Amino acid sequence: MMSATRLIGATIVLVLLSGCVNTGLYNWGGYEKDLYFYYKDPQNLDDYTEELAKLVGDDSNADRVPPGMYAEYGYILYEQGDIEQAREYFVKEMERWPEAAAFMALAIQNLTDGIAPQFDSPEPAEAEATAPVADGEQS
Amino acid sequence: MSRNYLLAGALALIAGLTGCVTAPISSYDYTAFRESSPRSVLIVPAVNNSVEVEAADFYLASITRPAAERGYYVFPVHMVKRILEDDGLGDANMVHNADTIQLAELFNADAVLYVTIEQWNAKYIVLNTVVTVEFAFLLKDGKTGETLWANQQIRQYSSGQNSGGNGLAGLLADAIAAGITKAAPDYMPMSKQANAQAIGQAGYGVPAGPYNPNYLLDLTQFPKAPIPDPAASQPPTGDAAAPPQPAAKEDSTS
Repeated sequence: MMSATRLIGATIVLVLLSGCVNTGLYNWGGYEKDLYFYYKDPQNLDDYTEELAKLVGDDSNADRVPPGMYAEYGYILYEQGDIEQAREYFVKEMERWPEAAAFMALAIQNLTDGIAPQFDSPEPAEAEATAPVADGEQS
Repeated sequence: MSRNYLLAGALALIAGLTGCVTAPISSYDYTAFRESSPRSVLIVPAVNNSVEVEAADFYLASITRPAAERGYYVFPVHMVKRILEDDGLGDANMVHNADTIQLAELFNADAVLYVTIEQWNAKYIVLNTVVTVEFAFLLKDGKTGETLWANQQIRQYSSGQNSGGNGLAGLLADAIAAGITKAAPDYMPMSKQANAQAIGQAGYGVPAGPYNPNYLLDLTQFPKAPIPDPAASQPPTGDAAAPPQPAAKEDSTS
């Protein structure tokens, strides 16, 4: 009786502790750092792209690929004109994450139609009806 | 009796070892959140009220990880940002002012997270550098537009402080100190810390999502309705979302 209680207690402690250990659900590699440096200087796009490639490339460890990463990589490939590979990674995102299915299906459809993955904008609640001038890479 | 000791021991262990599970002191009202129970979060570019022009972009690099690790599907923030720009929504203010339901529908997102950067600055006073970040978080339901969660965090670091600590706090302080240089202060460690606190704190953060092992097992830490605790003594710093404390005594120092 006593030992059973102790076991339950120990299990609870372990379960609670495991939620706090710093291993995490996913492998992030240098994603945060490289996206930051890309935003800091668009010339760092190659480093960001390489890091994404590394993160999404490990098929043996697909469970550790964070949500959104296949799509981010696919989108960079699309921007670089590699439509076929972009589609491939959008499909991967869709298959891995059911939450992304509708969004990715639309992105793939737009790739197929040869247009940018674009959607009808929601109406701005405020008066500014005209679209602002799209700002460039640098600010 | 032995069970009580065991429980007390377990709690002491948790409090002592992890520092990340704390008993709820009162709490945010999670009624709407629990009813909505979102699986996916669309994080749109932050509105930037700070003087640092690039803060919104830098911030975006620091928010996906804590939200995803909390157990949610997080839409690809950079792709989302680009698509919004292509759609004429390059101005974050326009995105934040757009209809939430319509916005969520574009991506089929269960919830939309709006972050406003209130402060992101460094002040230099003689040999001391004081770096401040302040964020306001607002999570809205994608189907109804209803507010599911709100939080506010402010973090300040002064290079004049002697961290002198050990353990996690000391490590964090060191990491931050390493980034504080006059030439180009690195705000990222503080940004990450503020996000982690906003999202992870029991009673005030975001409940575990479907990919987190604690999913639906944290009803005590993130209750459906706030738990008033008479022993509540320390409201969390910078938490504007805290429900009003039951006024126990009149405070003359206000």
